[in-house]
Amino acid sequence: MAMTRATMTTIGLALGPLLLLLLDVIVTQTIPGGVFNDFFELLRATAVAAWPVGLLIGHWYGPRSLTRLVPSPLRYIILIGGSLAVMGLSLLFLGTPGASDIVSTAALCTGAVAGAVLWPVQDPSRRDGQ
Amino acid sequence: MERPTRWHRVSILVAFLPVAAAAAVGVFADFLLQSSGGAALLAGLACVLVVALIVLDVPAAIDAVEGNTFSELLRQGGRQMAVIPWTLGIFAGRWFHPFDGLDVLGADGKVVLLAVTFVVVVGTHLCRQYIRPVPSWLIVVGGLISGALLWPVG
Repeated sequence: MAMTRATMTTIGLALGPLLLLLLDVIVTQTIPGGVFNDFFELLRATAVAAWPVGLLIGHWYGPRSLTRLVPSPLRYIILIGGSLAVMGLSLLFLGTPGASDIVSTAALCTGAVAGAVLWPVQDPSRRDGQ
Repeated sequence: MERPTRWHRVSILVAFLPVAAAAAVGVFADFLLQSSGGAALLAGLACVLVVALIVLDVPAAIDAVEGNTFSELLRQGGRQMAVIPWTLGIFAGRWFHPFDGLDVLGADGKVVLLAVTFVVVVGTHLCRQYIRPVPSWLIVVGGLISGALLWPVG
């Protein structure tokens, strides 16, 4: 009962856009009295959401030239430890004036580089060195 | 060419359900977010989808089929068409843009974004056909900048 690539593609195309829409609604709807209004500040002023999003983007679409910079066993230790440290320390910025201007952007960009260097996708079409 | 399996046929049928769910979210989002129950419903649905995608990815990662995890499909798909990396870049730029007031075009920015999206999707396709593929990371960076400048939240 293996999941073929076609099946996984169909499932991903069905669920992915809906998840993106839901996240956008939750993140961006700062209507008066809205339940998620405080959540928006947490997202903009800290790395709690921006870092994982950056990691995934770097993981999926990072340039191949960055993937061999760090040896394999070490990269996962750095990845997990660094992610916990970055997300945890960024909570210190919560409530700091001006933090929402730059913290999440910096975390997104740094996370994308980290994802490309430390967590590259094993590309099946190039595993054999093609 | 893979032969369609029973699971694939089921997945095509199931694929229509999220379209209805997406329409419902779009129509009722403002109403749902004003009550804690409605907000919990949306957040719960998002959590269910995240868990479902992870749970579905686990067997794909350990089975004998090559390149069928979501990550591998996203990476390969990014080389074949720009829509997904471009869209992810736009949303990331929209959510995590630096500074407020970057959207100098205001409401017109959305129209410009649609036009830019069309140009990027068609342009990268033509590049792939006649010159060479545009790297996915470059498309993501373009989407990030476009999302931050033309459709920032807040």
